[in-house]
Amino acid sequence: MAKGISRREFLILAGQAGALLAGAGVVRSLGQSSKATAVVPRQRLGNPELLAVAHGDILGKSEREAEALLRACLEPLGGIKTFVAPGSKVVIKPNVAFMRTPEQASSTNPLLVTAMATLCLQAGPREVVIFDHTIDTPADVCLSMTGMVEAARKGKAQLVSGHEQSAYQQVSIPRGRVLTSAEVHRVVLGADVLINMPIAKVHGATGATLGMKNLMGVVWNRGVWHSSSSLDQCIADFSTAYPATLTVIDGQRVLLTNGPKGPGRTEDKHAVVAGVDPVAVDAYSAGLLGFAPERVAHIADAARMGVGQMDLRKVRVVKVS
Amino acid sequence: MTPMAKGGCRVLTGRIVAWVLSAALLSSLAAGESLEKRLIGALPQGKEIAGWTALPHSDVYGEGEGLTKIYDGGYKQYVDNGAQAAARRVYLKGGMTAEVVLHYMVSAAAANKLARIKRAEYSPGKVKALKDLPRGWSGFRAQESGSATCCVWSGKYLAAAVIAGRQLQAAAAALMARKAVSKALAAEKPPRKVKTRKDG
Repeated sequence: MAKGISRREFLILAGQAGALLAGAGVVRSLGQSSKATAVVPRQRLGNPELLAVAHGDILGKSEREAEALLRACLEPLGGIKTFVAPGSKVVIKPNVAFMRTPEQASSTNPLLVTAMATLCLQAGPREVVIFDHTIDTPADVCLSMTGMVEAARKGKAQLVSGHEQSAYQQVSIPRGRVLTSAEVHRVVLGADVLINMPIAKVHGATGATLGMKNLMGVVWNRGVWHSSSSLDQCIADFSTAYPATLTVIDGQRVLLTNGPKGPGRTEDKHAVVAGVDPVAVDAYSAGLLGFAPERVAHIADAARMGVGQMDLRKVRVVKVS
Repeated sequence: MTPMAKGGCRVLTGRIVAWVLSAALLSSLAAGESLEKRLIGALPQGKEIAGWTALPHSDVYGEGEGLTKIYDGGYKQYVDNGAQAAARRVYLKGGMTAEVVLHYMVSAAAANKLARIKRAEYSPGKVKALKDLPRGWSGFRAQESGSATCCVWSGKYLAAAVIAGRQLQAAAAALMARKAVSKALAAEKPPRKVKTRKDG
């Protein structure tokens, strides 16, 4: 059973609290629009000091095998019911930015996405949604080519593409040093549970794209981040306000060159990494790409801001196979 | 190069010659034409690549930071190495998808440099130089992790074609990239003055 209040209840209360704080002049400028909702970091579920790493090859295998591996990975964290309560709304956010096939390791393995949707449904939520705002267009071709259309069908989840600007809402990022507001898709804002499921790959601008970077896909205008004084700081800023409930990194096949779009050189690591501390998950997963976590600026920035723990000696890593 | 690829390249060369001749007719559009129009116009039409269909609404153009529309954060590598602008189009054939991106670089030297960087991103054993290219052209092809990539460059133009799907078609990728560069180069040339009897 999920502990604490639901994420959605928390955000509603936070919005109300933010309105009071704004009236008291505590919340800083709301960025571009005075209609931005103030947000405070939500309560975390599960143990942030625990990381689970599962090793097993599911490339080209069945949905059942992928589900078994994912279930084994989540077991040390208490299983999916730690995060998904009956009647809740779950949003799964894979990385589906580009028109690439799963073999090219530019997008999250659809087998893992199907497996996550399936596991979530077993916990009795009201709804499971798979969401992303693709970079390549047309979005429907991108979602099809990456296997997400099929993943949603097999996982009995709703697939939502974030290509309507009217579906986004301006929210403030009170602790943001560079990014002080963003337009976030209402599907994500309305989620009780946000499961962040990126693929591990290198990135031309940030070195690596893992969990925190993947959340860039829930905003409307990524260009604001790219043209800012520091993309890495924007990523860290956003994570102060919108950390996911659970981060699960697809490290089955990782992209080692020409990221984030690819194609490039890949390597089959056969890993899945899961945790509630987004910094710790990213810090561990950076190793899959050959990076020390402190070499990825947004991991270091987020750690400095208190989003999570970058020092893996202070985190218990449980390995399952 | 495999016999099939060799055969593909022979066909390819013939098509390129025919295409360059017909593309020369377009040169009258060069004067005053925007870079966007020129790059988009140079991308192969679906009918030019047998069996492939251009995907409607897939055209994307970007300059400088606008390359994020094609590469997201990966744009920096292109801009930092001299890419001024790029245009992209997607094509479909059966269960396969192809993407062609035509870049306009600050100089021919920049095109050469970026091509070297892109080539180094593939495993050494999976990259081969393209042969049978016109003088002043360079190119390579790579097949890795479920895709065939072909990169061709000449002057300030660098085109990359990526094909993913059940059947990898390196020759088709080469054809697409070469057509894009060829049309772009042809569109740059000023119209040839046609002599009449009055000119003497």
